[in-house]
Parts: sequence; structure tokens; C-alpha cells
Amino acid sequence: MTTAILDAATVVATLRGDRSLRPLTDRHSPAGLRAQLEDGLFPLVSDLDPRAPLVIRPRSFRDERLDASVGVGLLRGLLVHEVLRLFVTGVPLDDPYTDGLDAWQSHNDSTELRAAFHALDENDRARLATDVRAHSATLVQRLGPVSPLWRPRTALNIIQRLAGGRVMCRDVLDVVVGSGATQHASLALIDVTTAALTTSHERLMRYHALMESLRTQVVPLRIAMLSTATGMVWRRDVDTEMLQRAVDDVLDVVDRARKGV
Amino acid sequence: MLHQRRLTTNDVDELINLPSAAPVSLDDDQRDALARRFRSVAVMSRRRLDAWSVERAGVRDGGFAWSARTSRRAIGHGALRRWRDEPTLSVTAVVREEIDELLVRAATGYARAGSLPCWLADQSRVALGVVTAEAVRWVSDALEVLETLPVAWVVPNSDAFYDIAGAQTSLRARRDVIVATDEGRILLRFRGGQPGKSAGPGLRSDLVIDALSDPAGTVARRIIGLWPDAGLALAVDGTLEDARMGARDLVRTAVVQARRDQKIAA
Repeated sequence: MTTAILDAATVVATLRGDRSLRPLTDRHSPAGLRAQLEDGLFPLVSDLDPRAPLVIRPRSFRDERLDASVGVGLLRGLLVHEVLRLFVTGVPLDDPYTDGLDAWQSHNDSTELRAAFHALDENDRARLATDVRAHSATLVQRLGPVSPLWRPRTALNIIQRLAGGRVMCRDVLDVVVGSGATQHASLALIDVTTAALTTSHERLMRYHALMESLRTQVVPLRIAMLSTATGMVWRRDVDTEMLQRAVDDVLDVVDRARKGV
Repeated sequence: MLHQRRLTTNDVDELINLPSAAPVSLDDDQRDALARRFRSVAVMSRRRLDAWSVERAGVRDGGFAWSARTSRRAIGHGALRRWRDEPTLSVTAVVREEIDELLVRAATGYARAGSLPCWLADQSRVALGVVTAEAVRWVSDALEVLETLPVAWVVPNSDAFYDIAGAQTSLRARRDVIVATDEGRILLRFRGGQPGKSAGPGLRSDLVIDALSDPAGTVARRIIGLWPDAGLALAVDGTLEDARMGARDLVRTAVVQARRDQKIAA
């Protein structure tokens, strides 16, 4: 069951929870989930050419069709995620907007995004700066301090090839804390969005949990989704039922993509 | 032979302990034969070959440039060594210590222009934060496998290099961790993304270059490529046949590059 965290407790604190209540690490379920996915995908994509795989991404689970053009909204999301990386890594933040922008410009190679940023007029830049500062304030307040001893890592890429390479699932986890190598489950995932939380974010949480389970062969302990737009946090314990639904979600997305719905 | 497993500590341990054939070595005749093959391939400027050039079928990238992404492995090696010495320290702490030492090296003039320390010294506080985040992720991914591995491992002080006299050719094998066993050494290499069809030839190239750089020419028992993003591990046995195939792929890459260079020159 998804729990909305409304009180002042930070995301990291609620994710870690009571250590004595943590279950044993589940290393058995991921193999079964992969087999279920493979079985379900086979009739849907058997005629696909593996050289042109069907790519599933987090945005495949959104209800609404997003505007593909690069605007203030997309740039805001990128900069807030840079602030997130710096904050989690323990870099002191002077001004979230300028720090986020410096971080983004230090490694971003996308000419399209750079051009979009430089094309912003003064009003749009001022709006972007205000937005990034406001979202970052919510982020820092709601996320809470992340101890380096919890081994936090940011922007983890996941690539899973399924159905003989006919389906490629891609994902990026914003923050992962804990380890899959411990006897008791300690792996926790955090996703941050600059949009308000909707039902599609529940599907996204399930997808993240499934992808991390398939990647590491370890079922994560918990997952949280934080909206920097509203400060709302959803937290969920990862269990078999959640992962089964994630498998159904993936099969549904593939089915709809194949039918062109 | 190419083995494939999921990337878990148990699977990697199993790959390490798979039975292997008797250890093999490359002798002087084999080194001379390889050198002759390379000398027969036209070269217009110094040629540098590695597993990446084999995997890319000789296609050259643009020039190398330091970035948060390209620096994470070099910083990660130093950080892993520090963590080995003091496992109670956090990953972030050992990465910071490593970056600090590189910055000191630049500040005291012990680094040459264009080196990692000099590049780091030119970065802003925030850009160094991004570099730290990338290196922390690299080291954390490595430790997820290595921390509970029930065998002793070390981080080598450098990659393996082999220069072929008279052929203007340098070979480089990347290796991140070496596991020493009674039957011989096993090489581990961490890679980004997912393994492609040329992952096997890439591993074989690393295997043969590592053997060539060994004074006794001993071929490692096995090389294991680890792809944390895809959760996969591939391994190639250190047989003479695999070493030969690796050498053939390197020569083939040199030939492809030479043909391309000649076309461009024409």
C-alpha cells in the first residue's frame, strides 16, 4: 500500500524506518519476475526485429502525452535534478539556481538543450530561476540529510533487454541508498519529480522497483516518490504484489505500443 | 569460451571459481609473430589500440577530453584502494580524499599539463561536486560486487600497456581489479551501459594485451567484464585460442584503421 507522508518526517528517515523490522533480503523473486515478463512478452513481440527493439522508458507510463518541445518546465526538471545530485553528494549549496546551472553546464552535451536555455528571454530566465530555487527549497527540506554511510548514489542508469533483445527497458533512478549485499533488506530508492503526483507516478514507482530488482537480483526494501511542486511524498514497501503489478504494467505498455494505442 | 551470468556477488564468485585449463603463456616466437603482423600494416601516425577500438571496429572517436564521466574510473581506482585500506570510511569520503590528493598534486606542480589533476584544478566547486557524484556511483557499483566477494582482490596501479617495436603501435588493456588465485590471476573490468555483440572480442583484446605486458607472457586465467547498468557479467577463459583470437582482432582493427586513413589521405 502506498503511504502519503504528510508530517515533517524527512523522506530518508521514513525510508530507513526501524532497522529491527526489516525483512531478509529477497534474492529469489527477481528470477521469477523475469521469467514471467519473458513469457508474457513472447506472444506480443515475437515478430519484432531485435535490431529495432521496442524501448520502454519511464515516460511510457505517464497518462498524459507530454509536449516534446524543450521549455522552462523541462529545464527546471533538469536543474532540480542537478541540485539533488549535489545535495545528496554533500556539496554545500550557495544558490540552487546558479549551482544547478553550473553543474548542468559542466557535463551537458546536448546542443538542443543548451540552445533552448540560451533562447530563453529575461522573463523566462527569471521564472526558471525562481522555480528552481522554490523547488530546491522543498527538495532539501523534505529529503532531509543523507548520511554518506548509507552509500547514496545518484542518477543510476538501468538497461534491461528482454524477449531476446526485442524489448529494451530503460530507467534512471534519481537516488539509491543502502546495499543489496546485506542480509536484511536495506536498498531504498528515491524518485524526485517537479510535477504534482498523479496515479501515473504509482505506476512509475512500480516500474523503478521492478527494474532495480531485475538489475541487481535483489528486491529493494522501499521506494519513495517526492514531488517538489507540492512537497507531497509517497512511500511504499516493495513486495511481491507490487512487483507483479509492475510486470502487468510493462506488458500492458508493450501491448498498447504494439497496437499503436 | 564466453560465459554469461547475472551481476551478483555469487555469480561473479562462481565465474571466478569455474574450472579452467592449465595456464598458458605467450613465448618470444608468438610475440615476434604478432609484431611482424603489425609491422606489415601501414601506419601514418602513432597507433593506439585498445578493447574499445576493437569493439568499435576501428572507428576512432573524437579526441579524448576529461569530463565527470571519463574521470570517474581513474578517481574510482584510487578511491577503491583507499577503501581497501580503511573499509570503515564511506565511499564519498574516500572519493573526496582521492580528489583532494589529485588537487594537491596539481597545486604542487607534480602533474603534467592535460592530466587529470590539472583538469580537476580548473573545475569549479560545483563541477567538482558532479565529478564526485560520478565517482561515488562508480565505486559504489564496484563495491556492491567486491565488498562481499569471498576472495582477495587488488586494484592494479595502472592499466596494462605493450609497445610493439618498429610498428609505432601501443596496446592498452583496461583492468579494474585483479583477483589472485592459486591457479593464476583473474581480471575484472567494470563497464558502462550494456554489453553489445562485440563485448567478447573486447574482453579477448584486454586478455591478450594484459598477457603481452606480463614479462613472462602469462595469460590470465579468465577476464570478467561487469556491466552494472545491465546487471550482467561476461567472462572469457584465458586459453591460448582466446588469446590468439584477441590478437587477431587487434591486428584486424589496425588494418581497418590503416585502410580508412589511406582513403582519407587519398
